[in-house]
Amino acid sequence: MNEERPGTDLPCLVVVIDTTKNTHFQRPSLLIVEMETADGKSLGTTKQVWSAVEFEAEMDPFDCSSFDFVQVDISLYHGRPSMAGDEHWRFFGAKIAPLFGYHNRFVMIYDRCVYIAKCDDEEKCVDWDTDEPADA
Amino acid sequence: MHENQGYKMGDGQGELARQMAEDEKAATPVLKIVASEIQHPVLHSEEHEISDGSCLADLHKQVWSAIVFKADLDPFACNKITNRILFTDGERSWYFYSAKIAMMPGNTLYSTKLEDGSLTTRAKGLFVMIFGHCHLVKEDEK
Repeated sequence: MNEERPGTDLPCLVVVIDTTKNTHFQRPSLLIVEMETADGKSLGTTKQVWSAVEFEAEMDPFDCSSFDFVQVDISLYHGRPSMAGDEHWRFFGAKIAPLFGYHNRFVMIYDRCVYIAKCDDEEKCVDWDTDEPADA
Repeated sequence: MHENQGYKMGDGQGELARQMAEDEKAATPVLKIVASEIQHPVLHSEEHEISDGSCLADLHKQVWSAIVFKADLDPFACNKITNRILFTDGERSWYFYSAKIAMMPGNTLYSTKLEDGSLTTRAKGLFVMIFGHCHLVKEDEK
């Protein structure tokens, strides 16, 4: 499951989740706060933080839990006839650990993520909220 | 998979124990967190059955499960990897090493004024922490 990417010291991980069998994938959510002065005036800047992602997948916890991953790709296979119905996410700066008390359930904390729209085998990373192109 | 809720690492684990001791020595910055409803740390280790039928834990294949807890924190200050976190629920305290904290979905943010008049953003609710290893803080370490 781990694959070393050339040019990096840390591993990257690819996770495929078959949502017809593993039903749990909590999509990423981003909280954005506008910076203000004490008297409530906007400073024109924002700060952002991503919440953790919980997911269910059939993978070995010993295979994924000791790393600080540069990149984790999660592909959701929804079992539709067309591959276009599948979903792909890319997470950067991620740590993964099993959740106690659940079988095959994990939690991931990461620095940022992008949604990957796949068009004719070409990857296009977009911002989940705005659909604007995003840097991978 | 074996689950050990004793949250105490055994002795004599060779390289692993040495690495942990080095991490602990190097971990100077401490973030202090007061939390409630802490799910106590659980260490999972892979077991191999040996010829006499008993189980032997593979000390190289160990992993701590994530901890979910309730707290009131600045989510922007705690989501980077922190060398060492002192974590307490009022009764027990733990040190967590190489830890990263994030909000669980569904938390709401609120702004509050600090003593110096500046504004800070906080979140009250469920957080999750992933960490390299941990140990209970003994009375003489407090």
